[in-house]
Amino acid sequence: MNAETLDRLMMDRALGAMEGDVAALLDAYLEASPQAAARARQTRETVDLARRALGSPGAGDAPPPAYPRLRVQAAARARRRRGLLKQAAALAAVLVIGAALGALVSSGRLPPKVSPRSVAFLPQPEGPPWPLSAAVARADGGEGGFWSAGRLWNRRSQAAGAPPVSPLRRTPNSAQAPGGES
Amino acid sequence: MHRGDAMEPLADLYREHAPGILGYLRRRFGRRLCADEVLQETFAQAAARPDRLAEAESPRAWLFAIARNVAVRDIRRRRPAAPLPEDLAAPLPDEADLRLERMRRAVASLPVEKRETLELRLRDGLTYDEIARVLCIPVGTVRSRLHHTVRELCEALRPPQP
Repeated sequence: MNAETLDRLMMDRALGAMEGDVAALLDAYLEASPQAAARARQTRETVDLARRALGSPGAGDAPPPAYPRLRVQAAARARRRRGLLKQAAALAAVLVIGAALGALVSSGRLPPKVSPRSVAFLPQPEGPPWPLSAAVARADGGEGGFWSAGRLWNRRSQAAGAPPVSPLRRTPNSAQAPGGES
Repeated sequence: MHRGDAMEPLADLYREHAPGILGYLRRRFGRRLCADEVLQETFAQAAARPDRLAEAESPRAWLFAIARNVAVRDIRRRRPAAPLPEDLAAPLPDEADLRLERMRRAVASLPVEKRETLELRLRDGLTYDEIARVLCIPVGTVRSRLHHTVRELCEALRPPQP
């Protein structure tokens, strides 16, 4: 065992911070080493003397006052009140935010919520639901870019079984235009 | 169930630890604060945090820590510019033993943190882990601090070289 480790163990032993079985092992080691045993004895005497110098707890002191029951109960009540206030404030905040959102929706500033089911039963228009910009069609080469409205409309039409409609060919007199004549 | 029943564990802790905490406050801080008042405030603050009490591995260390914080705050509130007390407050009975007197002087000359750590271990009987919780330092620091302190005290007791 190296000197530093032995020194730390002797300190812990003198300070009373060593488990019983470990203390027994250390004592057995010290029995075999008189020099180490002398150092351990000196350390133990120093700690004992320091303990006497510090005095024992409560020696010559007045006893503590009676348990402050009323003060402790008041502190516990104050804590419960603070907890209730926090919950009430949180509930009030939720109500205010909900009321504000409701007011915004009812005033028309926010779109009403539309459920997916209601969308599924809406009559599907025969053409793109929005007018296409010729400039946009020219910009993507007429075929429709990946994110083009025409491509999106064709995907929807194909899913519904209708033939794809090129948005560039759509004219007011087209057979596939709403109300058009062939 | 009466609400006061929930405070009974705290009353039990008071009966068990109040003398030790009061002794610690009186010796650590002396006449600079009213130790009785700080003791009562300690348990009032403990009552305001029952969840922390339930979680504490060592209620004694937790109460010591609260007491220490309350005392420090109280002293700073009264005299914000004054340093914290460093001297041992309670005078010991007269001792004819010269070695004991030298030890008293050696302990009194220790730095505050070392002396406080030593007091918590030797006088108040706290474990290393409890001392670490009270002082908010790692357990390893407690151990090394105590070891250094004991070495210094050994050196102080050594007879001067001729």
